[in-house]
Amino acid sequence: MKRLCGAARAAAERGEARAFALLVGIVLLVFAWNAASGALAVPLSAFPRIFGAALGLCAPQEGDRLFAMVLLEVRLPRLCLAGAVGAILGFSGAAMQGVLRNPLAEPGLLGTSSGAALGAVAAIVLEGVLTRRHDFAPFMVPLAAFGGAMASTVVVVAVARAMALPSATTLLLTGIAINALAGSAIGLLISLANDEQLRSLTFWMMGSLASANWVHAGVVSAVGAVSGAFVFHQALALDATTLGDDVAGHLGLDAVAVRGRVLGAVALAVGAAVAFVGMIGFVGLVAPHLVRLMLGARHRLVIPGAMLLGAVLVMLADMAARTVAIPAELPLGVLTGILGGPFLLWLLLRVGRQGGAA
Amino acid sequence: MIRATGITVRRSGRNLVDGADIAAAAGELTVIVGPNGAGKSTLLRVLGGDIAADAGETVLLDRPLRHWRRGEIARWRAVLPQGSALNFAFRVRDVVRLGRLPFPPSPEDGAIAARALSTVGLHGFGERLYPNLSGGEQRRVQLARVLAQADDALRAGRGVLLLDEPTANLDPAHGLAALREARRMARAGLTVLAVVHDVNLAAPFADRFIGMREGRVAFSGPPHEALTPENLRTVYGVETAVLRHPGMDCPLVAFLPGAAERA
Repeated sequence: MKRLCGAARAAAERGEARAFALLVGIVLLVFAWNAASGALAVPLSAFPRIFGAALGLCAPQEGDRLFAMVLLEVRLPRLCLAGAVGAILGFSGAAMQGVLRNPLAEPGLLGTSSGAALGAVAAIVLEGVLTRRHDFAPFMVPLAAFGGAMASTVVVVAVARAMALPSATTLLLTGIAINALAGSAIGLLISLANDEQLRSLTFWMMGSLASANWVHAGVVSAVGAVSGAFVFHQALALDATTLGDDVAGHLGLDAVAVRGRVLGAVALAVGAAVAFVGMIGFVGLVAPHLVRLMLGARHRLVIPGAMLLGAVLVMLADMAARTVAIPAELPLGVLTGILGGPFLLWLLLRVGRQGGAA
Repeated sequence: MIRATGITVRRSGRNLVDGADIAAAAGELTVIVGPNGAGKSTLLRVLGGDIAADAGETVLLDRPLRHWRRGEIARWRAVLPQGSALNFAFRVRDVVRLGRLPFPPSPEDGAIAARALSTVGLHGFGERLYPNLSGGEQRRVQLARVLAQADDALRAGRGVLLLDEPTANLDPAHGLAALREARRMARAGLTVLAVVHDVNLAAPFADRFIGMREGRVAFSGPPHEALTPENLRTVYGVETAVLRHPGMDCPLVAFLPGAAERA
């Protein structure tokens, strides 16, 4: 009997390892596919020569110059930014769902995204009013968005803490209230915007990676890596808090403190991501669910899994955004929904038939 | 051992627990009984550190509760709360292994979790998904988690086990098994305090009964002294006939509905 138990566990662990290998493989595949395709198709055979030349390993070839420029200056930074944003949304969604004990939570729930949107919209609309110039510093909108994200999260957490019981439910309700306030303020600002501002803020609110560069990719990757590592470090504590604050307390944890730490890390990462690429819905909600269906609910698997899957989803969505209607670009947020929704439905139906649980 | 004196918990102007004094000795299974709303669970939540009492002093294992650090007491005190909702599809073994969280990771953890599952009669359930289990099975998984947490205390022969309705949702066989395990833990040296609604299920195993009513302790003592018609009338407001148990050396309580309706 004991051996049978051990065998079942070994089989489960093999399954987990295989699922991770599959995810990593898909990430690499999507990365290469994405890098190669677009208005200018870069042949995969040129990749080693271009990377070799970029790293100084071999002499650059004249025929590759255009390919190299497109790949290194345009596509790769955008792809890295897409991957970093997707990874952030993935692990943030997983952490939020765990910490709020609610499978429907997503990174925007605590006002982070709407605060960022308010900051960005304010920057876009009020820029002209404040400065009468339109060549304002390129970091104005990202900084305003990041500031808005931080401010709204701090308000939500502070209000929830001021209440007698800083429970998951009070946090959720406070987040809803702050989201409503930010939504109204955004609406007010939109009604003040001129046509040009409307265009750019619509694009921002639906998400876009079109202005990606290496600086953006670097900043978002760095913030994402640090806060992702921190959240991963809290994986067991997150498992315990899903059983309830009291059970976490009996196991020696301060659930309120765990929640505060994790939400802080999530707000930082989501704030950074949203600041550069705007609002991208659905990835943070769907990626953790898909990973749980594949790997179970343990956060030490769900968090890295959701990072990988989130990266895949955003990279695929962005590839579609830039290739479906060349030379025009579609809003990214539209495509994440189109890609993620049916995939989730399909998985739910499949698992429902097998009698599993989502 | 547990000693709580003058415990008072006020909520919305009402005393849920009203100056309750209780003591539970190491090596004994102490069972708290009483009607709904008597403050049993609230008292257990004070002892479990979930809520702070508005007045009174709690001592666990010779040290005031407020002097225990959270991470430290978790190695000596395990708690089964009344209910725990889990919305995520954890595997049963992962839920049970959470009981090992207060301790440094050890290669023994898997074996401890497996043993705890066998103890609650769920051998071979380790790979099942928790949400797919029945209510009673989920309850037993939670009990196994508590047993996995109490494993070190059991070996040390010192510790506290707080069980809020460990037999709720369990069939008679598993209910008896849960109480038998609770008494076994007590015999190993732990202080076990359990809230149980079914006095007859608990009577063969309990060393002491504490009866609560309106936030106060109404009676306390070994089963034969505690379970009397007068005491039971005081806490439940119901007439009873207390008989000799046909197979065990403990009282058997027959509730008399007719008498209650007349009263």
